[in-house]
Amino acid sequence: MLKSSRFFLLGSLLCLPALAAPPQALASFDYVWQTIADKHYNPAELEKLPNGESWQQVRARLRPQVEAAQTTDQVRAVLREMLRTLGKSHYAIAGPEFQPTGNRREGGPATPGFVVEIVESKVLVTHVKPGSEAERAGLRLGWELVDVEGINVAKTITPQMRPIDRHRILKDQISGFHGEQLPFSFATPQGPRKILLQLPAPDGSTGFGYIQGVSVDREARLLGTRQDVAYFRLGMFLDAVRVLPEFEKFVLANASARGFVLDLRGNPGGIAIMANALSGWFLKDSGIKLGTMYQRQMTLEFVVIPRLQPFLGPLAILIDGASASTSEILAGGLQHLGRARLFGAPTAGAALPSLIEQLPNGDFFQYAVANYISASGQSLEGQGVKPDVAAPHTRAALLRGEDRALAAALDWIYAHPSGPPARP
Amino acid sequence: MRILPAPRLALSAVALFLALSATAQEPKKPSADDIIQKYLTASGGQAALEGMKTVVMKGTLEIKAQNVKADMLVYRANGGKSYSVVDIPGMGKQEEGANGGVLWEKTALGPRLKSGVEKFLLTCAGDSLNEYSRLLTGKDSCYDRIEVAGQEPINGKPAWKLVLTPKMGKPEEQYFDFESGLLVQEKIVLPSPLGELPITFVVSKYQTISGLATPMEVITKLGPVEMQLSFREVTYNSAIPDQIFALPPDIQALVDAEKKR
Repeated sequence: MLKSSRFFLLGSLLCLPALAAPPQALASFDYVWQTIADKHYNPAELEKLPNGESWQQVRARLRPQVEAAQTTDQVRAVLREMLRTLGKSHYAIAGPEFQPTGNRREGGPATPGFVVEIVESKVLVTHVKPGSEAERAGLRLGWELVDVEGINVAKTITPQMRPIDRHRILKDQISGFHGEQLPFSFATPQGPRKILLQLPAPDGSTGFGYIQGVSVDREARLLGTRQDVAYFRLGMFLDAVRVLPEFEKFVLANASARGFVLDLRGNPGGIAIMANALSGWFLKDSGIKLGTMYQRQMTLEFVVIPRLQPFLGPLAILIDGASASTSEILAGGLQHLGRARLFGAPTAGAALPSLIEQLPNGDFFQYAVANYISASGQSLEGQGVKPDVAAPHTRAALLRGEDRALAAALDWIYAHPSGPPARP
Repeated sequence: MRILPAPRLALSAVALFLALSATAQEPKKPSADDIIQKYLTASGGQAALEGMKTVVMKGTLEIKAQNVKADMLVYRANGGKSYSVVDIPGMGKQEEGANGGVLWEKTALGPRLKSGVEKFLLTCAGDSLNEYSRLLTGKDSCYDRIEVAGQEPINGKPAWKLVLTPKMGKPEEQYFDFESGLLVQEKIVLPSPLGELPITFVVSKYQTISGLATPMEVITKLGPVEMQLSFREVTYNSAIPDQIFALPPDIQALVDAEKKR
C-alpha cells in the first residue's frame, strides 16, 4: 500500500509510514519550535499559552523528551504535544493523529462515490454521487454502513471526537487507492446487504505543494422540481486549475437559474484564495471583502473581485461540522454580507491560514501563519459559522431519500425567486 | 525589473557581518547621485542602457518550503508594454500585463484592471527599459526625493541604502553594493486589492548579457513566504510579436465596461 501517497488537507496532513529510528529528531524539533517562534501570527500568545506555559518553557520541557526518543512515533508524539500547547487548529505533524480505538483503515486518495456521517449515533449514507458506481450498485441514503473489509466502522470513532475528526476518520474507512476493490456491508431496511465497489481511477486532479495525489470530488448539476436550481458540490478547495474554469462555465451556463446551491459539507478547506475566486461569481460591487487575514508582518484583506456577469439570484450554501477553513471563510463571509443563506449544521471552527513544510526528518509540518477575522469582526477559529437554518440529517429523512439541508435550501430558493436575500 | 527578499539562511551571515562591522572603517558617505551614477555604470553604461528595446526572460518561480515550482515567462518592450505568466501546478496560469496604459492581471481571483497608486508604481517599475534611469529625480521621474540613509550589510556585504520617496505611494528602500555598485536589495510597499504588501527583493547572480549586468536570481519575501525567481535565459532586443502584448478578451471586456461607466 502506498501509504506515503496519503494526504489530508488543511487540518490534516501527509502521512508517512512510521520509521524504525528517529533521524534528525532534534533538528526537526528545533525547526518546528523556531518556525512557530518566528512566524506565529501573534507572538504575545506565545508568552502565555492556554496551559500557562510560555513557548520557551515548552521547549525546555519537551526537548529532552525528543533527545530520549527511540522511535519516530515517539518523536512525533512529542512534536504533537508541543503543537497541542498552542491550543489552535492548523498545527499538525504528519502521521497517524489518533490512537486507534480498534482496527481502523487508513484510507487513500480515491473515494467510492458516497459519503457517510454519524446520524443519530449510526454511520449512515448521507450522499450518493450521481453516476458513481455506488449509485449503479443501488446504494441508498440512510443505509447504515456496518463494515468495510471486515472492519467495524462504528468502532473507529468515539462520541467525544469533533465532527471534523469523525468525518475524516469515516472518510478513511471508505476510501482507498485508485482501482482498489472494497467490500462494504450495510444494514438496510430490507436487511443486510453487501456491495463490492471498485474505487475510481485518478480523475486528473492536481494537488498543490505537498498536497498531492488527491481526487477533488465535485458535482455540478441541476436540481429542484423544475430542474432549474444550479447545484455545485465541492469536496475540497484544490485543483484550482480545473475547478475554477468548471465553476465559471457552470455559473455562466445557468445564469437564469432560479437559485444556486453551493454544497460545502465535508469540505475541509484547501487553497484559501479559491474562496474569493468563487465569491466573485456572486457579488457585483467592488471593494467587498470576506474578512481579514492578520499575519505578523502584514494584514491581508480577503477581497472579492466581482465578475462582469455574476449570478445575483438566491444563493444557498450547505455546511456541516466537517466544513472547515476555506469553507468557513467563504460561507461565513457571504453570510455576513447578506449574500448567502446557510443551511445545515455549524462548521468546524478551524480557520487559520497555514503553510505546510517538510521537516529534516522527512515528516510534514503544518503551521498557522495568520489569524482570520471575518468581515463581521468575528474570529472563525474555535467559533465556526452557524447556519441560518439548522437542518441536520435525520435517519427517517434519509431513508425517504431526503437531504434535509438541501431540501430546506430548495424550499427557500423557491420562496425567494429573485434578488439576493435580506440578512435574517 | 523589480527584484525580491533576504533569504532566511542569509540572516546568520548578515548577523556575522554586523558583529564584524563594528571594527571596520566606514567609507566616506557618497551622495545619492554618486550611488546612482555608479549603479548606472555598473549596469552597463548609458549607451548599452539606451540600446535596450526589448527583453525576454525565461525561468522558474519556486517556493521551496512549500514544494511549489512554476515556469515563468516575461516579455517587456519599450513603450510600457509587458506580459508575464507564471504557470503554477494546481493553480494554473497567473498572468499580468501592460499595454496602452492598461495594466491588468488574471489570477485565481479573476481578471482585473490595476489603478491608482498600484498602477503608478507598477508603471514606474514595470518598464524594464526605463528602470535603469528612473532613479534620477528629474521632472519625469517617479520620485520626489532620493536620500542616502546610511549603510547596511546585505548578504554579508556592505551596501548603501537609498530611501526613495515616490510621487505616489510609500517610500522605497534600495541597497547598492559598496564594491560593485549594483542593486542588491529593494524593499517596497505595494498597494494591492489585498491591502498594502510589504515586499523585500534580494537580487543576486548578476551576469553580463549583451553588455548589461542582469540579475539571474531574485528572492522575494512576502510575509512568511519566500519565493525564488531564477532566470535561466535572458535575451535583449529580440523581436517580440505585438500580439504577445494584446489585451486578453476578458481584460478588454473590463476596459470596455469601464468606458461605459
